[in-house]
Amino acid sequence: MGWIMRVCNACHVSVRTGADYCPLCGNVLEGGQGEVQDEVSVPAVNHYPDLTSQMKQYNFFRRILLFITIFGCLFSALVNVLVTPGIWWSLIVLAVAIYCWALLPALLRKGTNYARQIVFQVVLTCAIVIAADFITGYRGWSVSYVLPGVLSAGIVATGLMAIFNRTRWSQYVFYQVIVCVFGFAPLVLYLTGIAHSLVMVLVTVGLAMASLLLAVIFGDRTIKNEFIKRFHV
Amino acid sequence: MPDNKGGWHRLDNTANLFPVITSRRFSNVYRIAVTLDAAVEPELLQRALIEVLPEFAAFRVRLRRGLFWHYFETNPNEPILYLEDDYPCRYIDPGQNRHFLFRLSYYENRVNLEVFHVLTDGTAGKDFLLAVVCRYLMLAHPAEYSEDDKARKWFSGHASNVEDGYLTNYTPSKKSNYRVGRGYKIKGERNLLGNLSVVHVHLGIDQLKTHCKQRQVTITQYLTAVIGWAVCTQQRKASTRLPVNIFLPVNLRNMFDSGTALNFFSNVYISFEGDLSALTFEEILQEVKSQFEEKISKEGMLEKISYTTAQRSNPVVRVIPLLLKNAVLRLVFEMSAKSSTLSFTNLGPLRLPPQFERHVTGATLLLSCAPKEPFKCAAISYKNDFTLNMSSTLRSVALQRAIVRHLAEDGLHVVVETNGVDYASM
Repeated sequence: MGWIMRVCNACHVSVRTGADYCPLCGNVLEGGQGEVQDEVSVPAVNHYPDLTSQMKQYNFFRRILLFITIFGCLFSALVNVLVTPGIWWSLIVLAVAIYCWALLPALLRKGTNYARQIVFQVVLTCAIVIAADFITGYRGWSVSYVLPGVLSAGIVATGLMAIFNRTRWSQYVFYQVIVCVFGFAPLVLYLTGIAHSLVMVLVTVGLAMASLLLAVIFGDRTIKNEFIKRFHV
Repeated sequence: MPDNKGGWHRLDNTANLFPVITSRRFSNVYRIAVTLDAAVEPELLQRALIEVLPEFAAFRVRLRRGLFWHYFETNPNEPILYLEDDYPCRYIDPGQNRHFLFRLSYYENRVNLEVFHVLTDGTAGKDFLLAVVCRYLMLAHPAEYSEDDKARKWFSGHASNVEDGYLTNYTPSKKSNYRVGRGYKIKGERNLLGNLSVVHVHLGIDQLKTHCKQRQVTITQYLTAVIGWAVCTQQRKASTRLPVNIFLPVNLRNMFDSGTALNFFSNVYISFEGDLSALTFEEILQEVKSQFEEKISKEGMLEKISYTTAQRSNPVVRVIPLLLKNAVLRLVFEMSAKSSTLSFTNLGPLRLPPQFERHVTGATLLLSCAPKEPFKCAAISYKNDFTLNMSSTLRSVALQRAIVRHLAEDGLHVVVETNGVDYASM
């Protein structure tokens, strides 16, 4: 192989790294070519690619975004405290910033399941909107209008994915069903008197029922198999 | 449920933990590598991989989330063969790897199989690598192999057996909780980005065997004592009272006569407690030996797997949604991880039929390090070449030096190789 075996007299070992110094103690190695006389026959050397030139990679763009986000949050908190001490609107800014940062890696990652992303976004958006409603003095608009709206959008999006990408439907159907189950939440909220818009409830629950029925009626064996896998205990 | 009916199978009892704790910083990947007598021809290796993979149900999968558990689903994609261009045992990002959870790469004469531990343990990983290598050798040297050789499916005897060895072998009646106290943690400055520094220590197996026989210990016992001694004397300050606990995986396949291709191992901790400076190395070695004999028994292992498996099969636990389960698992892991100082595993000899043996020159085994476990050791042997492979994310190589020097002082002939991240590169 053209590699030489050399000896470190401090460690009392033979070294086969191709370097002039002992990898363990830094001593100068003794011996040279042609002196390879070993009881241990280790024929092939483990070479490794030289990665020392590989620079530390960091994402400049990401750092700029991080800077803007943190500065924005801190500055709005400052303005909030000094100008409008009564209303904690800077918390909404913070929530939106966290939302964006949670969204970003999901959007940039390759090979993610988009139906799963939709469910994730629906849950996150609902949480933020409800939080915003509470921060600005609870008036109930979040649970009555926005929550059903966001859920309807999620149901329609997953439903459309199922219709237009039949071959990969089995990968989406689990999330399609989950978002439909969430779609019944406005009904529960309406019946318990928390939400007040009947129209929004009818739209959301109607869409959820339609989407579920589609899955049941048009789903074949692959869809059934998908449920056995996803729900195994 | 011995094979994956319907194109999916469950994770084994140990595997459930890995998707929860794994990240870019904590890859849980191990690498088994063999060196060949000639440079690898990538086209042939790629072909060998594609031909062999369908036989290995445990490897031809992607990981998916269910409502209650993760599960493996048959992955219809074609696997990628890589030219090694990064540090060993990096995190395997499924999205960038056609959803496969293993990575086959080559560099000059070497073929590396890197496996995310969720798939299976080293024993089954070894079979997969050898199957690929045998197929490759038959493609590279077609004239040397008979039609019988070519028709035979080498090393894939158990490949389709995806039965959970824990579930089939545990006894619900035997349960006892195992708590090991906190262990000492190795400290020190880390390499940039968690890059792995690798030191391969080659020992002659005949000499090593004679050496151990004189002391009436096994090779694993001897090396465990050397590693533990090095950590105690080189790293741990005298004022620290925490014991050095070496995490030692134990293969359960022979113990329970199982041929599963999934994870089937348990573990013991070998502890080095108190002030060791008063003891000679021989005394420490005998103490390690007695701990081995006391801790590694079929009964002990059965009790241990029964404890964890009983929890997994508890009906209440089973219907807890995966999201919550993961949170609990994470907590349990963080608590148990406090015990371990470092891991050491000896995969044992790698054996090949003679017609393949002549083209294979050596084998190595590497473990990835954990954020709280920056130093790990793994051993494997092939023919007369025994390798102790030390992987570390520490900038200092003091521990590796202490271990190597001790072996040399004991009169063993030591040959050292590294991946270039060593004293010379600092």
